[in-house]
Amino acid sequence: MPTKKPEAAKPGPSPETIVKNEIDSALSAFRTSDFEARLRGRIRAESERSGRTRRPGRRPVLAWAGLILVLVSGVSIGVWIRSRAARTGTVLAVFEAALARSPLLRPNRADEPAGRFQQTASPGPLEQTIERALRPLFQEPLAATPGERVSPAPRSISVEELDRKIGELIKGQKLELFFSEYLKKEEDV
Amino acid sequence: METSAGARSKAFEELLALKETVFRICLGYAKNYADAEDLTQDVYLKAHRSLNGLSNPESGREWLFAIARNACIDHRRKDRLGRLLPFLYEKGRERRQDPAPAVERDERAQVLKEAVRRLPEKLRAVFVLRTYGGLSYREIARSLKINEGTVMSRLNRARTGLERRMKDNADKKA
Repeated sequence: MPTKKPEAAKPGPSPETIVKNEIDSALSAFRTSDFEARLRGRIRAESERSGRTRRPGRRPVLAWAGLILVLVSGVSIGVWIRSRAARTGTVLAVFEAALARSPLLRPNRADEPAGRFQQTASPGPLEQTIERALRPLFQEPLAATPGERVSPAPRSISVEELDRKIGELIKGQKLELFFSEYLKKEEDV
Repeated sequence: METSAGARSKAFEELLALKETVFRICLGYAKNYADAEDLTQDVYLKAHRSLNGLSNPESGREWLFAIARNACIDHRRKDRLGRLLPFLYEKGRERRQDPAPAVERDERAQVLKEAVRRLPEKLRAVFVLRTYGGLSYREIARSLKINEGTVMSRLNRARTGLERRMKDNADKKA
């Protein structure tokens, strides 16, 4: 029984022939007068527009790229400012707490017995550092150990005077060292 | 000044006489007739804008064909980008509702078009400029800044590749 050979695909027209047909067909639809009229209109419109300012919308890719760049830089700057604010806020909060607890820096109040803080709370390393830095301002001895009573100091300094002196210290950047040391410790932990 | 403007205008008119050749080259690169016509418009707009850059008017033909080729490559790139990021080009150019020439409904022509689009750019450029544009080997060589021998070898490789693809396609159908 003779087997039927699979039929080979017929060789079609060459690419050149197909291209020639395509060109003939396209050229028959190509209206040169319409084409030229449209082109001249576009050239005229473009030359009229060239005098005006270029709108960013004419180049959508550039406009989008610019917008994305602005957004990314805005977010980055926002994050950076926020982190700086949080960092400063933390340092200031700790510093204020330390100042509030320090017997050296509390303004003199008649209803508060001297040395109470030494009895109830032990100063932390930061408080000790701050007190050490501010001690020359007040010429007042510190308690050597937590809980030891110190003689009542002549804390006759007013709140305004205290503010001014701390301001001078900060302005002179003498307290910068303490901030940085404290932050380093915080980061190590 | 007037002379310069006049010379410019004359040079542009000379280039405009080549519109059918430019259209045929664009047809080789474009997906369909409407795209080819739009591309031809773009080519002439670009040529008009940079007419001052044409230092030697004698090489105007090659200069124009180089602009056409670059515009077609640029169009293809934008087309791809437009498919990836449609929001960037959603306002794109208005499509005219011209009736498609009969050849666009011919399946073999579409297969060949797809095969041409899949050729490497070096081979496609030579094939399109020769077969669609009808340029001589010398003109192609000058336009692409390559030797005439290279033009011939690339053209041969392009034809072989296209015939193989078309044969593969016919075999699949059979």
